[in-house]
Amino acid sequence: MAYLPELLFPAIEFPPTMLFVLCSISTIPLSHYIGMSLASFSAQTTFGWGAFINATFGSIIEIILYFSAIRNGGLNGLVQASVTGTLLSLMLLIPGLSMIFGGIKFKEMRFNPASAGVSSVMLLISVVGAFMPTVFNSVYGHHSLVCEQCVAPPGGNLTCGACLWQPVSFSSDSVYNEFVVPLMFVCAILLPIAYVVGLLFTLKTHAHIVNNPEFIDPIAVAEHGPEGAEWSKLQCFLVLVGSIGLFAFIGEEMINTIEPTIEFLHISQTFAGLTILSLIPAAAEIINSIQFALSDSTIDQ
Amino acid sequence: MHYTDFALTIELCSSAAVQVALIEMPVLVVLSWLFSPANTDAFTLVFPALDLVSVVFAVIILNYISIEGVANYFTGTALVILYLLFVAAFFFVPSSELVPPVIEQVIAMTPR
Repeated sequence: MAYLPELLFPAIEFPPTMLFVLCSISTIPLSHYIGMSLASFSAQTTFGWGAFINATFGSIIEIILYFSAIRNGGLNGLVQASVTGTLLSLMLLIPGLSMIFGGIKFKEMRFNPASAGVSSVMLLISVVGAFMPTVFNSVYGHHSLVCEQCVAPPGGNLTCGACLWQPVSFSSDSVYNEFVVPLMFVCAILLPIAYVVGLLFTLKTHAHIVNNPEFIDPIAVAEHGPEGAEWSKLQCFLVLVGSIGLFAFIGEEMINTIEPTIEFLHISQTFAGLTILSLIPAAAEIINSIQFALSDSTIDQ
Repeated sequence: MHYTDFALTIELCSSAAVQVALIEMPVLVVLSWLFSPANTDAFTLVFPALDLVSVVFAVIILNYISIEGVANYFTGTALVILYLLFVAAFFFVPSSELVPPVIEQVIAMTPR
């Protein structure tokens, strides 16, 4: 994989951009294997364990990647933009792409509005909750007025033009340090509780709403991990641990090489996070979603 | 009219997005608080305003599609175009270094 060239030819200096591209490509099969082992593992256990495993490892790739970026330091903007990019691609790009492919094949596709309704309220709640510190800071946080053209005629008043409101840097903002950071930790504690309650709702107490047999048939859900069911629990565990370990290595290398790559491409950190770093972990998801949209459900009308 | 596994796509996407907002972001906050080298580099939940606006719009749009329960290639194209528009908006975000510091300007204009 990506480490192969480095291991085979340790003497040769590979350009960082090339290393980054190689690393990115090698993450796609890894995230595919992680998804497959998760699917088959949760298919073989009780719903509680399956949900717990999905919650723990579902976004482990992104967490590993972004955490090594945070530890690297100075890449905060990149990580924030990647989180936003992940949300945008999950809500606009992936549904959009699978609608295009499915729509070309089937003209029109129907799905269960009741089932989607449960998670769409959940989605709105979670986004409002997660962006609460942003709203709070934009209301109460300190801002500075940065002006481009200031003229001070002798004896006259200082006149400024072309001004821009800018949030002051967080380290020097007393509002941020005293109020926003505690609010952030309150959010960090309360939001996972909402997730656990949501899991209980959709999987245990109200499972009949979500799995309405009129719309979603069990065969389609079982196809979620077609090859995965062939794996035993031990195999799943080994594949999961191996893939995550490999991914941690590759993610570290990606973060090390991303700064030269950004300079090479002449793009901002924000843009690189929004596009490159958010789409790499989602690549396997995009392929899966398009496959789901193309596959015919057994209920045909 | 076809019933495809498209429901599964919507379900997977929205549950993954919920997971990002409810699990991934809090975990990143706690991890960066525990391990970040300097406090200024820590991951913060205070996002730029453009991020907030674009994500909220995306949620509203996805909810409308979920309520309708019908999907075709026209809606899909519109969604992808909207995504590309947001990406373009992020591409044109002016970097803060372009704005010159105030003090220098004032000094340059003051009569000697």
